[in-house]
Amino acid sequence: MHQHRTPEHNAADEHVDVAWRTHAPAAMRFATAVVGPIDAHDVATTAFLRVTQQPDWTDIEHFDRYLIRAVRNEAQDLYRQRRRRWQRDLLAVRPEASTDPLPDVDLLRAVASLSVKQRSVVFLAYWHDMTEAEIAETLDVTRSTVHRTLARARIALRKALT
Amino acid sequence: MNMQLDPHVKAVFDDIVAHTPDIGPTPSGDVVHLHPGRSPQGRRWLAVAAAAIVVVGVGALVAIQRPDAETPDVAPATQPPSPGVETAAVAPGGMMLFDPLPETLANAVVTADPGPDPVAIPAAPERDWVLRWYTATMDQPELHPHLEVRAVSTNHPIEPLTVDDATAITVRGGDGWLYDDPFRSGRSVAFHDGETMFVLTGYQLSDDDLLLAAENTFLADSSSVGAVVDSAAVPAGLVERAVGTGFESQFLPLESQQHPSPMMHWGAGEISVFLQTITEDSALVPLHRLGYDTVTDTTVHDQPAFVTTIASQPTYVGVTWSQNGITYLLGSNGLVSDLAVDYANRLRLATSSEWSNLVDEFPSRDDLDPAIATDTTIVFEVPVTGVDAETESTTVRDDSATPTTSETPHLDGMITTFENLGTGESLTLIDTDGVTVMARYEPTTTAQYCVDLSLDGFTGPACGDREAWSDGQTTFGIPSLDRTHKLVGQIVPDSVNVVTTSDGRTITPVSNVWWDTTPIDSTTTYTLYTADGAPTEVPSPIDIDE
Repeated sequence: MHQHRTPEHNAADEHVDVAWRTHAPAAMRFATAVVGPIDAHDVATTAFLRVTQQPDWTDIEHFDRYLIRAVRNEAQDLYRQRRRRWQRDLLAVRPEASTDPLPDVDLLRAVASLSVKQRSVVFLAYWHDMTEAEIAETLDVTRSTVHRTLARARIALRKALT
Repeated sequence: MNMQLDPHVKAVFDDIVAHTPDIGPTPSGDVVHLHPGRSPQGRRWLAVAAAAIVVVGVGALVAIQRPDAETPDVAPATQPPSPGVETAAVAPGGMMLFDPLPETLANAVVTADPGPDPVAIPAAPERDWVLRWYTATMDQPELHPHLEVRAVSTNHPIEPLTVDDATAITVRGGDGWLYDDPFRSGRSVAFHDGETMFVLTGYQLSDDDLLLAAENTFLADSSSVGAVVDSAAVPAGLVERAVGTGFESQFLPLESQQHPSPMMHWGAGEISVFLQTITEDSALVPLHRLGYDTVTDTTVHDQPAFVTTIASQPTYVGVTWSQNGITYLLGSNGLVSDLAVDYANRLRLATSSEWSNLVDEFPSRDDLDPAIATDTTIVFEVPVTGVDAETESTTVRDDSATPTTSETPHLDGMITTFENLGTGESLTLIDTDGVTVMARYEPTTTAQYCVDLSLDGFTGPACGDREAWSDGQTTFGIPSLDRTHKLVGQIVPDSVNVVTTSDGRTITPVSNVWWDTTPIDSTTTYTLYTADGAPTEVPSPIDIDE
């Protein structure tokens, strides 16, 4: 990663730089899982900018979780803007320009068919191995919401394996 | 964790995450176009053909300290709740259910939408209108002078729909229009300044008052949102009442974003009913009287209520009342006023468990759309010659014809489908085999062109502005109620006369529409052909299928 730093950088810029270097990898991964590699960078950077352009953003507790929620919200916006544009979901999670065999096309499709909310929860549950309580805390939703969302997502995913 | 799913799902995400882009340099503020507020969502299920359509802004930015969606935030009931409904278990947003269910809705298709997640800090939508009301009184405000000020962030002026009848004027040195509001009794001034479109609509105000207000309307400072009229230019006697968002005739105070705002819809043939709840200051309820052609006072659940109608949409009847700090709007199509009030009186507070079950049983469109979106591919940019749509004979692909990007593609057909319609009118384009597709033109401040879809009882609209439909990228689709199959289709230019499918079928567009029903899990590629002998390129909506 290459940083463009100039003498004009002030303390605030330094805060932003540090926050980006510290939290962007996780946010970018989350964005990739939710919207795919093509849109991940836009979604993650837009979310990051929105957060860090708030006046008191340095006071935010658990900035990592906060940024994940901002990415989730940005992803939902993107999804809604494109809801009529078909194939988006499939493209979004299909690794582009890759020669690697897909692990399971049917399951990939099933993951692609999940809503942003479902995909967020499933990613945190299955890839991050978070408990329902941890997911609820990260996404700032109730445990019952997480439970219901996971239950629905599992039904869809299980169909892909049968 | 599910033992069967666990390794497989992890493997899929491993593969996806392996393609995570590099984070790159720290982003700077100029990489995105920042707006002063939240983005619009339009996530709402829209009641088909109902006038009071709601788009609530929620958003992208701040999702902190979200109120517990499972926790009712309504005040304790001031009326005895129905037997079996304890106030402590009231559904989020104070949602109600029919008890008893009207017979006409016995076989209705139902959807239950929890609505956007509440937010701690309400903010204006980025790409949707922000409304501010000024009224002379809050007692029957519709009978006295009032002023609506709208603003939306846009780089381009939005011409009024009645531009041919509008008077060109100059506002703050720029172009503007003065015209009669085509849908209500107001008089409007519209102008573009900077990156904002402003529209002021006055009722029972003089043109001079309106123009003076327009000259002195600016974006609010950081303490508020939307546009405000400088106090010296506010027409005499008017007082600012509230700012919020809305769509069509429904006004949503900004503060209502802090609370759940669920919606239910029942559709049974020609009768459709929806119930929308808004948590707001009860003092603002009279603002919901504005924007209708008739407002008639009545009572619902022994509370003051009013019935609203719209002249341009004679089948619509709305009933609005406030109860326990919640404003309820029951909108209907196909009911007479008395029956709509009767329906409202049949509603009782739902319990949180009843609501949870409904949401699970009748998911909203947000949960249904992605399933369709996954499995359908539409291929464009295929110029051909020799296609005979009616006989399906001798399809000769002209590979020598090089597609060229046209600055003015053949898009007339798309819009013509709608523009032949009068305001509020619907045109049935397709009605066969359980499928109906209706075109509806709902020009408001922003023209909305809608396609109302129905597939075996599941109904839903796809709406967009002229740009959305004209870009050749807009498709529509809904699943059937049982989710076994799906309806897909598109509005296409006149030049497209054949659509072929990857499983060997041929579809002929009718009235600029092609459609298809396939199993929900099927994957189909659709290829559009033109037959004018000349290369005709429709902008590709998506990446061409490999």
